[in-house]
Amino acid sequence: MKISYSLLSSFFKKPLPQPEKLAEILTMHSFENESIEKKKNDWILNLDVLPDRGGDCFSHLGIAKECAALLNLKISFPSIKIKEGKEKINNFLKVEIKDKNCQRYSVRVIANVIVGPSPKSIQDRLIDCGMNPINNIVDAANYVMLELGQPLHAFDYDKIQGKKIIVRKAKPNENVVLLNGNEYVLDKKTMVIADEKDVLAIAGIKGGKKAEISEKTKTIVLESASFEPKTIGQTARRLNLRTDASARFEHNLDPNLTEIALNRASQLIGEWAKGETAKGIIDIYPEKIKPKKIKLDFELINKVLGIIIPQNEIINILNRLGIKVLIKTKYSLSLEIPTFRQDLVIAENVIEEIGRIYGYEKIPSLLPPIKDYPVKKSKFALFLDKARGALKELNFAEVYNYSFIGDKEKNKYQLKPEEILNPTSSLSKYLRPSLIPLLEKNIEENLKWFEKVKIFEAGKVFFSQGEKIGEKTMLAGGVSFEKNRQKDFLRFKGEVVFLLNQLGIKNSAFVKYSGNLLEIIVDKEKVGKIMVSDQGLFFELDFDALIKYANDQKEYEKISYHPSAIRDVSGIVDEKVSLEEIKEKIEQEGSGLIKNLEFFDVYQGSKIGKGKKNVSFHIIFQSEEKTLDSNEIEKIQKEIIKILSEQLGWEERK
Amino acid sequence: MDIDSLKKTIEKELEEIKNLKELKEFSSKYLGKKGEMRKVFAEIKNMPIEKKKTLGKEINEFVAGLEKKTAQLYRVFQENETESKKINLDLLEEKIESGHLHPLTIVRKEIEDIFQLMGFTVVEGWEVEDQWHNFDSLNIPKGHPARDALSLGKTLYLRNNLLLRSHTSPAQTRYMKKLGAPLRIIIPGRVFRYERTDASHETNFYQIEGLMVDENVSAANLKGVLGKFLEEFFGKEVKIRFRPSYFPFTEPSFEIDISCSVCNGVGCPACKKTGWVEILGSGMVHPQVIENGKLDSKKWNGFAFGLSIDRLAMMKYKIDDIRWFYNGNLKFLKQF
Repeated sequence: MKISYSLLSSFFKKPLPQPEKLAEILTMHSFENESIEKKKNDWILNLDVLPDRGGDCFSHLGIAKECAALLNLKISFPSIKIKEGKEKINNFLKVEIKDKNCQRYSVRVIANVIVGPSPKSIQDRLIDCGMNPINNIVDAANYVMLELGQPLHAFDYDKIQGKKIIVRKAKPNENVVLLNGNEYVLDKKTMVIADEKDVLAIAGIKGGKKAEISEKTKTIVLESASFEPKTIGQTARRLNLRTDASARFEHNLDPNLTEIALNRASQLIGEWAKGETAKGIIDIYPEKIKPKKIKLDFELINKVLGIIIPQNEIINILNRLGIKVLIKTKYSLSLEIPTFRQDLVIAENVIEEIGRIYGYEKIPSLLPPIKDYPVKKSKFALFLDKARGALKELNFAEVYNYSFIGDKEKNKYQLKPEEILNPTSSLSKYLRPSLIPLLEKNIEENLKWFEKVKIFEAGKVFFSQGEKIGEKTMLAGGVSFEKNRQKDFLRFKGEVVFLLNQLGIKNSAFVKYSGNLLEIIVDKEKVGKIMVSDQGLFFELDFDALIKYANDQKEYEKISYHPSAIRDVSGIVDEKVSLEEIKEKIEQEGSGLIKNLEFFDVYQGSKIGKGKKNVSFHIIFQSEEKTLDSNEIEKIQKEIIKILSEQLGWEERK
Repeated sequence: MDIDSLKKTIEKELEEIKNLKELKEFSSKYLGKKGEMRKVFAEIKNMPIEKKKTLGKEINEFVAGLEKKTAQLYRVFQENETESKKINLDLLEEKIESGHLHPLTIVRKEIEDIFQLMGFTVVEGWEVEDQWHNFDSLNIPKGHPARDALSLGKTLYLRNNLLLRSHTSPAQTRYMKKLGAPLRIIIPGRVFRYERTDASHETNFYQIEGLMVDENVSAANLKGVLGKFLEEFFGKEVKIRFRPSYFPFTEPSFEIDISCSVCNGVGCPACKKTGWVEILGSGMVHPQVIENGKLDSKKWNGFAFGLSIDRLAMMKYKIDDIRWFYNGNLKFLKQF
């Protein structure tokens, strides 16, 4: 809101503080001042009026009232005198309200106006406040809006058919050409000002061409009305038409303001356009808004603000704000809220007023006492950060991608993602159901600059869940290939195992699903996958599932001082038998004496036979209690081979 | 005995020797006291005199040659060994690769650590929300100007009245309902806006919501907690101010500014010449929001705040464009 320092000063007999000083006071107690512009004869403050104060502070009067409260000054508003003519307004015009969203409708008729430019000083002030001067009629309406916050509209009386104004809902597909020259097609949600035939204006938003003020205009109808705020706001957005008027109407203007504003504008038109005001006002105001009453406990003020403000200081502040104290007791106040403060509804609203005028800088800083709350992170948050740390140790770099994907990813990965109804672009039409598509894109991009790319991401993915849309946290990583893809895979799988170990998960298993997909299983539950793609290798873990198995319990393992012994085993099995299975059997059979198992060769070829593979591994035997002798080792080894051949069809090669 | 093939074997082995250790092994294998050559000498002792003479000479020459060669090699290897023990301190260091955490992860953790020390638990919220929690529970009914400021082309909508949360505040009533009171939590998480992206606007970014509910919570407590947080995060020299603000879900509401770190409060383009930078929004929880969280607002009250992690990270690392956080460019990410 642009505020003219000189117009603001005109509300006071005493001088205001210098513009910079005043701006600082307003910033700290009312609204932030964003900048001060120096004009020829003025300074313009740019105040960021808070949304709940649009009703009274989108005006110089509202800001003047703030200054009065803050600086303890008295406002002096020029007295409004109108010379009324003899002819009664009822002889000119009839008004009918057919829409209850029009809360009040006040009009005057002014005859014999001479339309021309408004005084230069007024034009300058309008320009300084961001408005275009048009003619002395429109400028008077706009000027009063700047002064008092009440939007007004002037119609050319001679163009109103039937000499009747009707406030009603628009008919379906009713047309209107507005002052901006654009044609709008209306619907029955829109409130309009009409004559007996056509729409003259969209209520509270903008006037139409039909009854526009022109140089030939002789008699005007001046409207000062009050409309239900939500109706105006929604219409303005529906039509994508926001005006100075709509911005004010959608913020709870005081309906009691219409008459004063109407008289003020009539006075100015009388001065600038020499008009004769018809006798009386048509003022339709079915339900007069009365001041609200709020009870305020002194104890609540102290409780909320955390500071004890003396009672007389509280009453003083309320008086300066124009809030009447009706009854005072030892414990509380009964207050009457002026109707221009539609934003004050509950006691806490008034406490905010007391606090900000008194000064937030006077509230002390007081750390609340530590109580018996759990202060740890949730297990989930804790382990997710642990996992991030583990991946960092493995030289992965963390990326954050958008939560959205487009058709390209959807088609490439054959996904069935949830749709966004109003996407920002075609590249972000859907919610990501997996982190991998965008990680793959990251790898592709980064390979332009780096020889090797190793990245991970932790984030939410989304999936359909009947009526609802489900979400879960995934942890995914990807690496680009190097020279030897087999080696890359072994390393990558090892990293996934390392990661799981870091989360306390030791019993993970990998089950081949297809030629390029391994499923990761913990306790028979599928918790993730390892995937081979053109770009590289990826893993994705369902962290919501995984968290059940994560733990940070660790027990020290005894270190054996007895020597270990290595034996090599080599044999042929069906190619479908996985190394995981072989490993599992050996470990089951090893009576706890197997320290480690290292597969060092897997060979397939014509020498072996179709559908078979040759597998070689070292077994490292070690006991914690004694030095194993070769007979014992041989015995266990034989048992192992026996089990392998019985259960997996292993043929030993010597 | 085939002297020729023995000589060939020995010469071949000698050629393959690569270091001092292998050379020593070779010497002791062939030339040592119990070496192969001694065994050969012992064998020819029993041969007829003529054969002994010629063969003895040949072997003697061969051994002498071997000794000469091994001595030579010995010198070479020893030199190499001393060479490899030498360190040139003038050379440039090797570049070490490590993994990297995203700057938003780093800053989020830092923020969480500070609040945890003040008794706040870290919990997660939900990214898909319903309209009631995102708006209505926070006093933003349909048609409310603040709802429209957020929703008019600002909220991303999904089917069945669902949406992507436009702020972390819906977690307030969700956790009041879930955990009851007293309550001290922070909820970090991703939020979504329909935005035309630019250097300071993104379609997804991160906020941290804070909520304290107890029997006697005051604005002085809010000031204490947030003042302490800002002091810890930005350092003691930072100045803090509280000024009036408006949020439908807090009353009173405060905007908290810190002195501009670029110009130290003098005024510069970064702070629009005000000397101050807006850092977080906060306030005392509106009694209706407490009620919406199924708590008795006569008994319980509280404060809440929200801040953008992206913004703090941008300030901390002097990052000039929010989009760097989400484009996966490792030239950027490897700096952290």
